[in-house]
Amino acid sequence: MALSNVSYVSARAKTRRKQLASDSQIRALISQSPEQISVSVGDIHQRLREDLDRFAGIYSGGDLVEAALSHNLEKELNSIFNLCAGKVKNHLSVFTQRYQYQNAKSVLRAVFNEVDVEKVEHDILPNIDQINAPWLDFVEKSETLRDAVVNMKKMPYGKVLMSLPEDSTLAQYEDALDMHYYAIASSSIKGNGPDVKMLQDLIAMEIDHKNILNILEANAVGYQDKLDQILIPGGKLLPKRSFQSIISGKRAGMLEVLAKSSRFDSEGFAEVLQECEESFSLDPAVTWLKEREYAHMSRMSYLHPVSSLPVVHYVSMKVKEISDLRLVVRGRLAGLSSEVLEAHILGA
Amino acid sequence: MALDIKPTRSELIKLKARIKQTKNGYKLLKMKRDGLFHEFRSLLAEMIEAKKDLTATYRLAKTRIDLANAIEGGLAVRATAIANSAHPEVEVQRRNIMGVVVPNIQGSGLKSSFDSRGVGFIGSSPYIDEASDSFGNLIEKIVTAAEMEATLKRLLEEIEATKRRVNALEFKVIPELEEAQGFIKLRLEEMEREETFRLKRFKNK
Repeated sequence: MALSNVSYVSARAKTRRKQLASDSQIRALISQSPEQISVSVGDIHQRLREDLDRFAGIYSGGDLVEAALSHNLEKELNSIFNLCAGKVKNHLSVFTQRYQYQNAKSVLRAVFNEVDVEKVEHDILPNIDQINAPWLDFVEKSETLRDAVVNMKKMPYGKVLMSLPEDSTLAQYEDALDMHYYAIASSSIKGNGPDVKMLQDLIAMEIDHKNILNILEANAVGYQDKLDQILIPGGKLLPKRSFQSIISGKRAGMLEVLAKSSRFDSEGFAEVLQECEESFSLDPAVTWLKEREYAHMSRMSYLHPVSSLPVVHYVSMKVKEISDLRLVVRGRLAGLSSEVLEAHILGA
Repeated sequence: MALDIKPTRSELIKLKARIKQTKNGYKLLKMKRDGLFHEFRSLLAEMIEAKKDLTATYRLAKTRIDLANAIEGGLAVRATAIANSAHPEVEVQRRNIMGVVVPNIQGSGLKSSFDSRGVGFIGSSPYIDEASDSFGNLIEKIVTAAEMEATLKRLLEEIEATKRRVNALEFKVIPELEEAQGFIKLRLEEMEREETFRLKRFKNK
């Protein structure tokens, strides 16, 4: 078993975290004009500037910034992942692997609707440095959904996809991928230490939040009858043993289970749900739950400074930096108001 | 005006029948014009509401897709869009309003349910789903507004044409026929008087 290099990696992660764009830097971008904003994003890091320059020949406007940001994130994740070993690497892989699952879904979608590989490369999986070459290869070599599944059988989720019936729909494959990801995430983080427990709590919190949002959305779009197929096991607020009462009670059943938990602010959530009903959108709930996750992450980083937690915290904050920059750039270019943008840049 | 008609009794009878027929036609056209106008006004009120609704729906859909692009990213939005294999279809039929043929637009699969979007539910993004829903609503409203607008346009054209026909009948055709009728009557009376005078003179001889 590889020896863990926890102290070195956590120190590097903290240093890198300090170099991330601050909230004030990101908020300053909101006041800039759409013409200036792409240039100003490049001024935040030299590496971002390099990525922008590399994509400038292919994309423009919001697409350029987004492609550069995504590329930057992938490079950064690979770089920090390569610094890790042993337990830290194992923990971190839970958070980096989710992008593989996302790419696998893109492959399945493209094959399902027979989208040209060139279009996939341009619109969905930009391939500078051949970073997405394996995924594009899957698209090119597959004619049917099943071909794509067979071609991806050596991937970590290959067995799960292969186990589904041949006539499964795209949605069934996608749901199987998501279920598999969360099952792997829950089972990969093993151990009894307090740092491991915090990480397990974080995964459980993500699963709970996903379940809460899915139940709310199912209620909004008339999908309640399929709750038994979409509830993800592994959460703590909505444990597996409560699924039966949620399936029968639906949204009200979920709220009842949440109300019994001392770790969940049911009153605050009730206010958020009121906002959701008034705006006919789940946006307030998504934002509220995301804030909870960030608060948890920032706590865990300080409580266990020499563990895998600062690394996971750094990765999450890097993802947040990229998301916030994309939000500001895309939002400004589309003409979203400053208030809307400010409301979605969450303090961490 | 030079009248090129024969001042005969049979012509007068024919003319009287024509005037009666024309006046009936005039009354019917006037009723049609008023009916079309009434239909137009009630549809116009509906259309104004539909346009307001359409604008509000468009704004909401635009905000939601912008938010989805900003929060989830354009790559994720496009990745979700390619999964959708549903093709909305619009069928244009005809219906009749007071003899005016107007389009009757029926859409199918305009607003796709979650199932028909193809993507899995577990990993779906509420932002993208809400944007997709809003655009489904928008397409439905566009189709309704398009049908109303085309109907209003056809009605307006028909009102204009009917108005021109009514005016032509009222200010040209009927007065001319009546003038011709008056002329024949006058001519016949004159011929009668001439005949009487001629007979009197013949008797006196």
